Amino acid sequence: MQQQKSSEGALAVLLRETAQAHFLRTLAMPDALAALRERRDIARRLLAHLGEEPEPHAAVSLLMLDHYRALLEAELAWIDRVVAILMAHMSSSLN
Amino acid sequence: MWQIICLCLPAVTHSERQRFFSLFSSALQASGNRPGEMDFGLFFLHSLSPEEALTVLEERLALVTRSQELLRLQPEKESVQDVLQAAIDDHMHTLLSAERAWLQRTIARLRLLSVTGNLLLT
Repeated sequence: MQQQKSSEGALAVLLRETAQAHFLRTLAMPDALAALRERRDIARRLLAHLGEEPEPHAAVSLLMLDHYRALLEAELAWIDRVVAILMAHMSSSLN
Repeated sequence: MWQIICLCLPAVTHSERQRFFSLFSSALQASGNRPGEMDFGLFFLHSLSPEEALTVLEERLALVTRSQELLRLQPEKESVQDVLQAAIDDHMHTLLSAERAWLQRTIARLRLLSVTGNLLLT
């Protein structure tokens, strides 16, 4: 029980530290927008590159490819959301 | 997930980025794998049997599920000044959800493999 509480505490600390280390914390809003757009371009290129590569034969490689694609797609969806929110926020701040 | 959140490719110089991908490609080629088909966070799967991989991924799913529960316990931000914090929270929720979905379908496939000898990948 003590060990479980200790590992839960460690997980909570890890999550907190991950949020603290997020790259968005280091950027002012206009810079965050620029960084997100560049990140979106990179993610799109990576996804396109995955689509161009011949599919590997090994089952493990296919699973890993599926993982990589899933995370990239999730990343792109998040970036699109955040870019829209930041643009709306900056626009309302100017009015 | 952590490397996606913390590794800000746009924030490093072009030469640093080139150096990183060069080293990554060399590491993959040295292990007999081609660059471009790898997710280095799961590279260890090549060294495990399907049964071992299943055990590891089930543990990983438990960790991801618990992480999602812990994040849900955090108080919601109400201030409009916390736009970036909300974006960070959204990022973590999004990647954990994607990770969980992948783990669930991969575990299902590996279980099928252990029963039928066939890994359903369609």
